[in-house]
Amino acid sequence: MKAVLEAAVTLLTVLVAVLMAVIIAIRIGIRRRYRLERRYRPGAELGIAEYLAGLPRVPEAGGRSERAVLLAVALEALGDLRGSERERLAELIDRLGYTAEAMAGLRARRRARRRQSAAILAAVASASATHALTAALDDTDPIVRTACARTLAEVGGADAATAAIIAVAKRDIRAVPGAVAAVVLALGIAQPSALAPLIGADAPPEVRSIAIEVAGRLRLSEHAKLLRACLREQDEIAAGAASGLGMIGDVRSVDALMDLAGDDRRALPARAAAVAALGSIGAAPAVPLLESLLGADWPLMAAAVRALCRLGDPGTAALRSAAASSRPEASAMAEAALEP
Amino acid sequence: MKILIAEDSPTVRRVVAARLAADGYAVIEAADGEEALALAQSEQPDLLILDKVMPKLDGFEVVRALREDPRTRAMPIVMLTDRTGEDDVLGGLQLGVEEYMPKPFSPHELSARVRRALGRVSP
Amino acid sequence: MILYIWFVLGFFIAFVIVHTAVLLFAAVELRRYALRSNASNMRRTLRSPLAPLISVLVPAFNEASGIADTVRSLLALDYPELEVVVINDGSTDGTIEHLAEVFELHQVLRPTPPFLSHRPVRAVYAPRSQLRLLVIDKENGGKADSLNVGINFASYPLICTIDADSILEQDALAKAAAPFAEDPVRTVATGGMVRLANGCRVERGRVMDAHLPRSRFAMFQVVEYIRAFFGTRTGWSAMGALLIVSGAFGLFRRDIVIAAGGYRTDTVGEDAELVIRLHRTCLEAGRPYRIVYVADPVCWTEGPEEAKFLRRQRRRWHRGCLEVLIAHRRMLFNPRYRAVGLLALPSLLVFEVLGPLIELSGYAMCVVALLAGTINWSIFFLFLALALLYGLVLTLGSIALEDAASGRFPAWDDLGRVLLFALAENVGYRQLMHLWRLEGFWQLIRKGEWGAMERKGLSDPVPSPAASQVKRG
Repeated sequence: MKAVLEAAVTLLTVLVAVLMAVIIAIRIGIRRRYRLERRYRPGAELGIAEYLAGLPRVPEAGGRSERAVLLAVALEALGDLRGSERERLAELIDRLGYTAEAMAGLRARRRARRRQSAAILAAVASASATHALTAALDDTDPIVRTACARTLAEVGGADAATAAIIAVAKRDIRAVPGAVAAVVLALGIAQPSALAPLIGADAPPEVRSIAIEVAGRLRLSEHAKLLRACLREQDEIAAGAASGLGMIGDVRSVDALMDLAGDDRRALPARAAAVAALGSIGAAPAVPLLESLLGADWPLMAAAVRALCRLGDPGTAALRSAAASSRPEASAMAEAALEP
Repeated sequence: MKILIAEDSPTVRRVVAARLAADGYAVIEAADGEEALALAQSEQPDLLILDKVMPKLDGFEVVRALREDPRTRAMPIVMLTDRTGEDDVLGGLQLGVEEYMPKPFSPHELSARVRRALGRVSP
Repeated sequence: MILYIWFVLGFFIAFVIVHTAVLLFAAVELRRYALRSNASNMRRTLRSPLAPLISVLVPAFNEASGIADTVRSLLALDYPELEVVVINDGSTDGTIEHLAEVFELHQVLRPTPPFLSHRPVRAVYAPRSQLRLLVIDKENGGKADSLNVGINFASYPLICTIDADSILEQDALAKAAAPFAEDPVRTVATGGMVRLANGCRVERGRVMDAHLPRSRFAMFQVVEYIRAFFGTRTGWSAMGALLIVSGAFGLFRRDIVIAAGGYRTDTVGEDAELVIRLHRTCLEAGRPYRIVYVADPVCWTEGPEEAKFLRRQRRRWHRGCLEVLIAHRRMLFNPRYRAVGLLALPSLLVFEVLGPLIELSGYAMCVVALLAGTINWSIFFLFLALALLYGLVLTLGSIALEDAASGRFPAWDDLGRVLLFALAENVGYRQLMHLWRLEGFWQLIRKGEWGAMERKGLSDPVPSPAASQVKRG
């Protein structure tokens, strides 16, 4: 036993000593970085601020750390600015060679460097980087791919890149769904028509849901017909499509939406979304249907009440009669809705 | 005219300060909410440009504190914010924020708004 | 006797091995987070229409003094779209009246949604202005019950549960919501870091300056929190086996929580119980999911500084620990529940529940053996040395990770102080905590509450002061 104890105690003592050393080393490293920042930052901030205020002097940076600090400062400011100052700043970043460096960095061997470069190019959003970004759409790392796809979509690249961007979206949806959502959103803003293949049936369902949501939030009425077709599909897609049609305000979909809302074979979320859409669109003919839903499950009933509020006089009349009725839940909800 | 700019990002703060200085104003800078409140009360600037998100004390809380103090109750305030949600604007306007500038913003435009806000206050 | 001492030895060694592994996972995860996280990216996502909407639930019992500050600081958080739902748990100190005055509340008709059951709601209030605030007055029923009310009334798909005296940092919600934005379908719950505000300058409901506490008990707790959050939770989270999201700061998918049945009101460990049940529900349903601990977002809370309150807290935590294990005993060592059932829950059982017993009885046995002459003085001291050192690996490793990840102690003397207390912890404080936890164990047995999880009972009507459930190892 003694031997085992001695071995254990020795081992642990060594480990503890090593960890203490590690902690101190980490602390020294942090302080060094801190000191470097403190040395270069004020100069960088002042230089950039003055340059943006119109002074001709171009901020300079010597060694690698100084350049890194200057870039970090510039990128921070880039996020907060808009208009002519932003243009000037983006042009400065270009002129100092950072954009070229980042473009080269996209071909680096280390994944971290490629990700960092993609992030820089995303912040700068310079049209000169289109070529490098398009090439990076074939990168092995999904984060790099999607970051570049998003930047390309935002910068408004040539239509040639659109197909590649769409391919990236379809490919990476399972690995990095949030990043793909950002790509789809950027695409929807820059090239609305490009969303069609992502809404269509041969895209993976997760991408379709995102594309449908984006189309709705951006109120892209050109996709209303596609969304209407999606109402017949499986429930999550149908729910998204219904919401989207509501946000777009597509009057021609009222019939299809009423069919969905009234069909008790469909899932609740899809029906509730359809009900909400009918309210958003302002479809007065839907009032009788909504009234009939006032005895259904809570989410559906709540959606129906909210929708009726938006359907003018006939809606209000329906709510009033529900409030006066003997059904406790419907009556309570309707009464609450009628409150000023 | 004296303007206090409270913004935690030093670069943006300097950019705005430089732009305002170029416009001919005297500029004081604050890096966080607590400093902003203290400087606003001690220096009594003619206008306050306030970032909504700052360390220590956020923009809304600074506005509330200033409105409670009779010396600073009428100070015009321009607020910079990420959020442009409706309730946010109303929340700010209820407290008496003159102008609301969403971020990302253009210092050029900010300068115009400052002129407008100051113009309203002129005797 | 010797056999028993061997057994305790084995326990110490197993502890070091298991927790070194957890630390390694934590280290890898923190590095991955640092490489992936991109501040400008996050800002852009949050400014976009795709940002997740959050309802912050604030259960409040007799919080009249601080509730207005808390609500105001929540409404001022750097997050695009959030609503605050305050649930007044039958307070007797005028909490509701105070809120009504400050925010100009008026009563609104709002039928209670039926998703979760709870004590009756007395009234619902909303402000006249457009502030996204809802205040619900209900009959007293405890924190879990109040949260269930909040979940029922919440309008948004994500709910954030906090304590009434939690102070969230400006970007805490954004950082905690980031995993949901990254992976909206799979992510079910996330939790952030809780730090002790003792010793910090707190004004207007915000932490102005962060300092280490002066009080010794508080300093020991600081060490414990670093160990829990940077060591164990990050590590277990990386293995997909995070057992607890702190009640002081957690973010959940509302629909999943409702599907799982909401919070249980008959346990003091309701935060851990919910998370484990979420694991269970998702695994049983075969639904791909992830429950993630994010080390970056920070929530400040006050820790007890007096022995009396600290003791009460530790007893309660331990009771909660046991109740949770009993309630989900079917998951133990069950491969169906993967890392949670095979690794995390057994680790909880062995190191958290049995650990105090084993360690303390180890000391006792050593003393007996020494007196009986079975072992000599050198073995005795070696054993003590081992007992002193075995927890240090985890603690120092966690401190190293904390420093590397956030660099929050800029001063050398701050670091020195933390290290000093990390070492000193092993010479008395930890053993005292073990004793208090065993008292909690004893309390549970005495109250005969083994069967408490089987029947629905009323929880303690006085919710404890803000206490994040922090597990030691």
